Amino acid sequence: MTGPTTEPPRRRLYALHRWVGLLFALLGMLVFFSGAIATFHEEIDDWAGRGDRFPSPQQVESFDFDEAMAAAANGVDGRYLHQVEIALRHGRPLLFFFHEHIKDGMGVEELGVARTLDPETLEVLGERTGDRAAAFTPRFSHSLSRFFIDLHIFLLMPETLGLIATGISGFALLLLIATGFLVHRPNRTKMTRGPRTQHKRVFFSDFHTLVGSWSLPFTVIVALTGAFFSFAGVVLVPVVAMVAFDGDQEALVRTVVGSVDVSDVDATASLQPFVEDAIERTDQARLTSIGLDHWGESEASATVQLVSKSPFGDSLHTLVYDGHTGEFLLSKPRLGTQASLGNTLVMLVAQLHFGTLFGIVTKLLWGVLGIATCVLAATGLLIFVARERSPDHVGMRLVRSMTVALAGGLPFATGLAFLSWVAAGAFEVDDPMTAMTWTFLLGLALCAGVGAVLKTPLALSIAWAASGVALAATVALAPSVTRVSLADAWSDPSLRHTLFVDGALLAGAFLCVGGAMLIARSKGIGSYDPQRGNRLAVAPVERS
Amino acid sequence: MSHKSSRIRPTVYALATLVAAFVVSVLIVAGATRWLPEGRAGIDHIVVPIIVFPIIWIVLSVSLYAARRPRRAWAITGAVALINIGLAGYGFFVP
Repeated sequence: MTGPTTEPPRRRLYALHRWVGLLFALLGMLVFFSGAIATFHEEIDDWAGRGDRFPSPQQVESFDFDEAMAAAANGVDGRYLHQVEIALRHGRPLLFFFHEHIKDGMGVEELGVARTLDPETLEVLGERTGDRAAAFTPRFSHSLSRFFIDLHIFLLMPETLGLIATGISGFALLLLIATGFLVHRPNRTKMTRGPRTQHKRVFFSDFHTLVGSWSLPFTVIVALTGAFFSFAGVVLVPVVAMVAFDGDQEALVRTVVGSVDVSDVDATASLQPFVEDAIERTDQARLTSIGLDHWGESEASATVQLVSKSPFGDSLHTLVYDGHTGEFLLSKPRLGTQASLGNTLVMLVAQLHFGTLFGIVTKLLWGVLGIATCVLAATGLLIFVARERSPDHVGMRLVRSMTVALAGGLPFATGLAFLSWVAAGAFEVDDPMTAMTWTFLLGLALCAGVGAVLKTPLALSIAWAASGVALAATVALAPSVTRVSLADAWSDPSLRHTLFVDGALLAGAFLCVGGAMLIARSKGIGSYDPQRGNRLAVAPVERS
Repeated sequence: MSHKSSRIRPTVYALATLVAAFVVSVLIVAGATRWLPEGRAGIDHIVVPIIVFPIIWIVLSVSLYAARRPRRAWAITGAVALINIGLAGYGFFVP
């Protein structure tokens, strides 16, 4: 096959970099921005649920898992009692998901009943019927973090379509990194030189190369791991199942997860003894889930998952027990029943993607670098806008509109999503996720509209100023829903996550307003000083 | 070959390379389940190719798109695809 042109490879790569960047800026920035926020989903959960927290069973002295199981299972259809998942989520009520596995084409669907239980009183707080997604529908206080996680994973689309879209944006980012690296060739000079200010296109280009060079390791990591997470289940698992398991995906999952042999004693183990044993074996690690597989049947086994928390990274434990005798069988890796390269790689990929490799240090770094990647995309678009060869062309208007929608609209839409969550709580709206979705989209659309009508600097400064107001208003109004004020959080050490999120929101507000003022000043909007001049517009814009 | 009219449009060529790289990468993952060692836990041949899939794709994409000798790049990619079709197909029909 003949190549597209006789142009040298570097020029072709530049063209590919430019067009892929333009086409995937929208999806990519949505994924990165929401990912940066979702990195702190535990902190957001604590912030949102600060006035409504449940203790973990390990904190309740008289708690007994057999009594809790009996209370939760009371009246549940017998066919759902052989597969049980008990989720112990930080600050939330206990969740029992009684279900059965139903073969659906090549995959397996889990259908059943989910019940939430107060760990102190063992009172059933709620019940949901349906599949796993329905069972794990978040409570109000957790819907805020869930919104950003869903935005990051599914881009507010149906599950499979959303995974494909995020997967494609992961691959697009990989392509942008590879082509960007080969085109810009980062070196010491480019990485240490500040952006030149004599021409706005040069300024944005230098800034783009600078941010891109410093964030390169992070972008490579998240693009590779993100593409893996999005496409593994949707495309690759079915293909591998077809080749190695005659299309049986359940058999593939069984092999990868690993199964154990259990005794043939005709009895069912009590839960409490083996749960206590698991806690003791892992040196008082925190319980995260208990899975009862084929419970009451011949292949009965229990899998207890725990986490040892540390400021420099978490350790996960998976302990398997005989479902008949309660005897400890093995401490297994997440994948397979023995240590393996595959399991090590998967765990590394997960820790790298979620920023949990070195605990809060990598989480903070990932948050900052996630925003830096958005800056990268925004400066890429601004380079395009700065060319302005035909500013009134429909395509150019569209690019300008998208630039403002993303660079200014994302913080504004995020502020609106937080505010709509507060409003949903204040007015007891049943479905805060829908409210957040629409206000988020409205925020983006408003900024896109402003970007299409006004000049880009003015539109950006308006969007950032509005973002600052929305974020600051969230901090001011949230205590009306969470019932804990900033002053209360300051005096209570257990509410440090609340302080962290409030601080981050206020810092975001400050940065947005500061950015708006900076643009306004440099472009002569508002308090313009004619003696100072405009640094970015000293050199005339090239129009040839 | 030197006539411009005989060449493919850049956008079509870019799309063709990216899609072809994707298809060949999926074939490599499928074929690798046949020759990669299973490891002690018996899962490495399934898990490792899936993890390295994005790396395979980006290497193939850039190699195909920016190749100085496109014919040779496409021929090598085609050969790799055929070998992996053979490996995956052999496993599919002869378990």
